[in-house]
Amino acid sequence: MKNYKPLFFWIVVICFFTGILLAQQYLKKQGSDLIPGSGGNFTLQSDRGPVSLSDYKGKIIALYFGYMSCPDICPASLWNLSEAIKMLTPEQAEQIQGIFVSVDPDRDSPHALGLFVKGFIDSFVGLTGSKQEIDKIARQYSVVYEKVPLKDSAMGYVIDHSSVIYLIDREGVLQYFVPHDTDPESIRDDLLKLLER
Amino acid sequence: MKQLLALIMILSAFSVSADVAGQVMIDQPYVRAAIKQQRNSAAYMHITNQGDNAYLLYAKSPVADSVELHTHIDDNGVMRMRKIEKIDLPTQQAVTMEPGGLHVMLLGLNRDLKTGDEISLTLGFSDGSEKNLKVPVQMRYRAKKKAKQESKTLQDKPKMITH
Ligand SMILES: [Cu+2]
Repeated sequence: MKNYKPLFFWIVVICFFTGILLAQQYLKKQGSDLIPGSGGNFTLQSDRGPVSLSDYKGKIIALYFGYMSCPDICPASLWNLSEAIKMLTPEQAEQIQGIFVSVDPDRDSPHALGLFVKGFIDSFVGLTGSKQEIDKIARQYSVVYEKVPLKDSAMGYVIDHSSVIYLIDREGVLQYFVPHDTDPESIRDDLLKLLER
Repeated sequence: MKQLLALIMILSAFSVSADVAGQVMIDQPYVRAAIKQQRNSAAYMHITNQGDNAYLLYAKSPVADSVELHTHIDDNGVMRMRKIEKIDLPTQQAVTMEPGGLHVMLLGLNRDLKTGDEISLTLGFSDGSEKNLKVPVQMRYRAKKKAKQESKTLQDKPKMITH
């Protein structure tokens, strides 16, 4: 029986890579908007009116989903990102656009979001929209978020959410998922890879 | 006279350290910088308990409407923040409060917390004793993953998170 183990392993490996190839073909055919988790364009409200991802075509976008009442996970992600951008040359840094999307439109106004993100890097943009709009974008980017009432807490409710920085190339194609507790040096390295393309 | 003085000093030292507040050591406390519009912030520190088993029961601060003890649960990458009733302080152990984990949650900030400021924070322990702290405001975060690690590319991610 033992001899079958390596065979089984290779079958799994082959199936896995075949699946990836098929998925890539499918993505190319269908356009990235349609596949959950593949990213794509969207439009939401900023403190200066509507903003679309496609407005930043030619730039590299670092996109993060969170909410302002979040005490540390969200600001830590934005801080790590801003530290990474500050390690770049000014010319390189100009080509990076940081975007924070709030999944808590009931509490986070575009105006407050603008104040919040500019505390990290002045060019950062804070966006939000209706629940329907946010739900659609969450599907596009495989963002998991869930409003959870907190019993006996002055917070009222929290929003459980996945915490990932999405790096999008100059063509608007989603390229990297960066876990939120990644150190600034690693984020900088990912940004450099996209800048070199 | 000297001996009497020494005795008084020993006794007073003993009475100070008899309560939990006197038995815990607080290291590197800081509170995260925040603007009022964020409404909330959090304080972090290391607490070492040199006395018997105890726990942290509450905290209060003049900069916030209410202060709660919270933790974060990392559920396969989904961060779930929850209120907790107490933080255990086992004897002779250091408990770490840090971003992404245990924290003192400041809710309803009544002012901006700017880097370089200091806030007052009172910790209340299981025996009713309290400890007053001056906590500096900082913007820093320690990234947990210090080691070099590749971010995942779309191609490396075989399964998408769905709900
Ligand atoms: Cu909290």
